[in-house]
Amino acid sequence: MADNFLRDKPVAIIAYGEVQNQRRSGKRPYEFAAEVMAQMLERTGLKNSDIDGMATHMPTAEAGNTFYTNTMADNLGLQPRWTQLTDIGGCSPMGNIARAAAAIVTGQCEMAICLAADSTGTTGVGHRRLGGYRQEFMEPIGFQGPPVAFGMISHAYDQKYGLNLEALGHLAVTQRNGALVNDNAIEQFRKPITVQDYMESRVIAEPIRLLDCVMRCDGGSGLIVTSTERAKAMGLDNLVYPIAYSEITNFEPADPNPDITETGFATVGPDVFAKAGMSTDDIDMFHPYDDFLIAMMLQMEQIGFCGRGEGGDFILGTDMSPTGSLPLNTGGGQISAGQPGLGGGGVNLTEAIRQLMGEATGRQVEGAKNALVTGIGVIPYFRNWGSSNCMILEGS
Amino acid sequence: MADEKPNPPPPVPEPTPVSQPMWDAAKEGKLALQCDPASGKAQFWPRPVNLQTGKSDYEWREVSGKGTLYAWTKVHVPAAGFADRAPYILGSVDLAEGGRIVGQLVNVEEEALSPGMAVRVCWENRSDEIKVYQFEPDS
Repeated sequence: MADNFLRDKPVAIIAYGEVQNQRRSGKRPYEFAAEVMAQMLERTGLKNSDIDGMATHMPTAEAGNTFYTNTMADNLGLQPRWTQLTDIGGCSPMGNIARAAAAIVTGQCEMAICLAADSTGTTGVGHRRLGGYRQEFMEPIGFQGPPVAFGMISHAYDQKYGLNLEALGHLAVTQRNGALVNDNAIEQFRKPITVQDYMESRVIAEPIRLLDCVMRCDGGSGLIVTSTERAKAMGLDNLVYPIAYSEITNFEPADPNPDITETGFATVGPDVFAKAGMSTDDIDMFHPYDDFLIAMMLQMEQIGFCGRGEGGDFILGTDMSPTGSLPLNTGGGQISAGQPGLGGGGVNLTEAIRQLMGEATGRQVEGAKNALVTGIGVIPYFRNWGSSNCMILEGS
Repeated sequence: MADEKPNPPPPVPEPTPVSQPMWDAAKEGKLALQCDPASGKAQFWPRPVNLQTGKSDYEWREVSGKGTLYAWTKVHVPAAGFADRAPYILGSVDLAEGGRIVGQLVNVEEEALSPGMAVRVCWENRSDEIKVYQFEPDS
C-alpha cells in the first residue's frame, strides 16, 4: 500500500454532532443533518458559509435521489467547492474522513463537513427494480435480509472453529450496558439485558437470534475536518487526529468457492497498523462496526487481537467495559443504540471521537489516547461483507 | 419492509440479457454457469465479465448440478413470499465443477444435514417461463 499521508497529522476533527436515534421519526435525512450541523456550528463558532467541503453517504431513505449532494447542500445553505458521495454502506461515514483529509491536503477545500444521516425506520428499504444479484438471485430463493447472510456465515464459522454463544451473549450485554448511559441510544434499548436474554431471544435465521441483530432506525451524526494548522489558528485545542486509514471493497472477488468466514479485515487490519507503526497492544479502545455480534468477533480475530477461532475465548477473557483493558463500543454500538440506516457507521465513529474529546459522560474511558474504529459495508451474494475499513484516531 | 399484501407470492426472477442463458437452461431442467475457458473456474451469479480476466470471455457450460453442502441456515422469519414455507432451509452448495450457489434445500430435514453431504439440483416451477433451482440430497 501507499505511504501513510495521515502520519504527520495534517488534518484534525474539530467537532462532532449526533442526534438521538429514533424508531420512526417521520423525518428525512436532511432534518437530522441540519440538527447535527447546528450542534457543530455552535461548538466551533463557525458559520455555514465557512464550510467549503461536504461529504455524505447515500442514505437508504433518499436512495433514488440522483441529486442527493445538491439537495443536501441546498437544505443546509452550503456552497461547497468540494463534494463527495460515498456509497460503501457502513464504511461510508469513516471513509469520508479519509476522503476529506485527502481533499484538504491537496487544497481542494479547507473546512469539510462529513454527514451521516438516514431515516430507514421511517421509509423502509424501498422496492425499486435494481440490477445485480439481490433481486434476481437472492430474494427469489427466500433471502429475507442480512440475518440470513449472517446465519450462513455463523454456520460456516461454527463448522470450522465452533461458535461460542456465551461469548456473543457477553458482547450483547457489554454493549447494552453502554446504551443505558448513552442519551443518544434509541429509547427502546435503554433497559438492561442478560446473557440468558440473548440465548432465549427469538431465532431469526439459525443460529442468528434477535439480539444478534441491529435494528434500523432514524438518526444522524457528523463531524467537521479541517487542516491542523487552521484548527490551531482558530484557537481550538480539543482535537482528534486520524493517524492511519485503510479500506478495501469487494474482498477476493475471483474466488468462486471462498471461505466465507474470511473478510477484508484480514487485509486492512494489518495494513492500518503498519501505516501507524502500531500493534493491537497499543490500542486503548475498540469501536468496531456492529451490525451483528459475530461481526465484531470476526474483526477481533482478523484484525489481530486474537487468532482465528479464538474470538470466543478472547471475549470471555477480556474486560471490554469502559474500565476494562479493551473498552468496546462504549455507547452501546449500533446493536444497542440503534442503526440509523446507512449512517449507522457514524454511531461507532462518533462515540470514539466523543471519548477522545473526553465528553463520554457516564462511560468515559480514563486516559484513552487513541481508538481503533471500523466500518463494514454491504451483503454480497452469500460471501462475507463487501467493504471493510479501519481508522486509528488519536486525541490531543 | 411494509408488504403491499399480507401473503404475496414468491418473487419471480427477471432475467437480464446477461443471465438469460441460465434461465433458458433452467427451463429445460439444466443448470448452466459462466466458466473461465482457461481455468475452467465457474462463477455464480451471472456477470457481464469473467471474474478471472475482467473481460467478457466467459463461456456458458452446462454443469451436472451435483455438489456438496458448504453451509446452511434454517430461516424462521421468512422473506416476502415465503411465509407458507417457513421455517425453510437455505443451503450453500459447492458445485462439482466449481462455483457456489445458494438455494432452498428440499426433501430433507435439518437433522439429516451434514457439512459436505452430497446434494443435487432440482427445480421449482415459479412461473410458465421460470424454473428456480433448489437442492435435495443426492442419494
